[in-house]
Amino acid sequence: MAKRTMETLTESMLYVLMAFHTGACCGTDIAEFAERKTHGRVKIGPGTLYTILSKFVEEALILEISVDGRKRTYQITEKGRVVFQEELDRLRKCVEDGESVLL
Amino acid sequence: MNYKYRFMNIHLFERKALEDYFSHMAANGWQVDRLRYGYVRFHKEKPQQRYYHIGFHDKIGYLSLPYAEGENSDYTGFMESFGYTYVSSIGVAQLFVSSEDQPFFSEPEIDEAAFRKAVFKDEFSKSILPFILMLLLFIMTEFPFYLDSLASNATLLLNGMEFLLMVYFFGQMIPYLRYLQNHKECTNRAITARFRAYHIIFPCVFLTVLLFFFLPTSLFVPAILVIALLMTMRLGLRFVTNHTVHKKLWQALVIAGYAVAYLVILNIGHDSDPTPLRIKDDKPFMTAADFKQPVKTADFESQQSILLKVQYYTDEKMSYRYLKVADTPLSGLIEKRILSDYQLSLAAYEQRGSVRVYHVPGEYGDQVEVNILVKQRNYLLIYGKLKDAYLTFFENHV
Repeated sequence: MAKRTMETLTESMLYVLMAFHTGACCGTDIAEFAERKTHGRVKIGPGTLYTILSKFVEEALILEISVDGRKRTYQITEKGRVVFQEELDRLRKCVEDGESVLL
Repeated sequence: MNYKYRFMNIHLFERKALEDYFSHMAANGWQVDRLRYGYVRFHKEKPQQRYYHIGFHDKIGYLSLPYAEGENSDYTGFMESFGYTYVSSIGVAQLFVSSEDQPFFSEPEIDEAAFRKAVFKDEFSKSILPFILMLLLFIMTEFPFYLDSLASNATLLLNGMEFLLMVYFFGQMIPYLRYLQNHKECTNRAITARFRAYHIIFPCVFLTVLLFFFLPTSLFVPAILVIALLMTMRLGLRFVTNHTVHKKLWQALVIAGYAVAYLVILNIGHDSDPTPLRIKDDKPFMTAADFKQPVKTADFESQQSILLKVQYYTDEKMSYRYLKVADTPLSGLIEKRILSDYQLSLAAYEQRGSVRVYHVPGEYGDQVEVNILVKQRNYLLIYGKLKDAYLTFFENHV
């Protein structure tokens, strides 16, 4: 995966981190959360999700907490919360800048 | 169980086309059973709509990707929780199937980097080994001094292997080069895997057989150029595939190209006899006195003419001359040697032959070593050496 994807979270990455704010999740929980939250606008494919989760584990943004057969459950770390908050701030700033131009 | 086989290669950069093709086959009652190099096996089931998706794996770790391979891997388990079933894998590709049409990869920004990396490694690994083998075989067949102890069929076998590898190499590499040129949309082009099989594998096999049986050694390189030209034309076909108006025209051109190449190759391989060279000062090419063991014309068992192609090096460039040697001692010597050593009939090599002369010292009368490669319609009949030969020059050469 390109390094720059971690410097700025993609939309799918943002929703993955967002899902963990509801509690510990497995892959299907995350995909369902993103689809439900966006009313079907964002659908994260399993190939993409697997890549994101692997990268987040590698970057210590999430942590694997249990393995039940083939089902793996993760939870967000403190570093993950910080990254998510920073991304929200960045997006909020983007929206403010955009709206200021329209006014 | 009822099986169906399709000859094709699995290239990651044709992922979308392959997925569509497999789904189409499933709708017609043929489910993918296994992926192997060179073919895909389907088994018969009742027709049903199923959706295939090709992902990656990183079994040997050279991709630095988190994908594991196989039925029991975490990756497969993860996919199963989303309703995908593992089917088979090959190279760095692994195939999953689902009964629902749902996205497998959903974010190009994330997937594209991994995809490109996987494609590069996949194609590189498929091509580097054949390429190295091809080079080795080329060296072995072009400089066969060390093959004395091997049977004459060894050179034939090496040549055959070399050409198969060349075909494989071209078949693998050229589509990949095309991908590098146009990698953004290559998975979305409307080229089915069946189309690919018919337009790469079968023509290559056809041309290989043609080369193998009909071409003299000196035409191998031109023949490879012809293959390269045909491949280029085929790539041109792929380039304009989306423009359906031109597709049929271009396809007809490619077929015409194959036909012309076929005729040209046959024609070149069986052209009329070149004019025999006259010997300088009316001296024979080699006299009996040139050999330690005098050879008399009367000793020869046949006076049938054979045409020899004599290759030699001048000013570091390879040249060759055709020489009719029916009434020269050399032909007799060769005949005698062949007859005594290999017990072959004259009829087997009366049409064409070739003699390669290596290590030519450059002075008239110098002793040289002559490697004999006698062929009939490109079947290599004899591989041997004449250590008692002496160098002479032809009129056109001096």
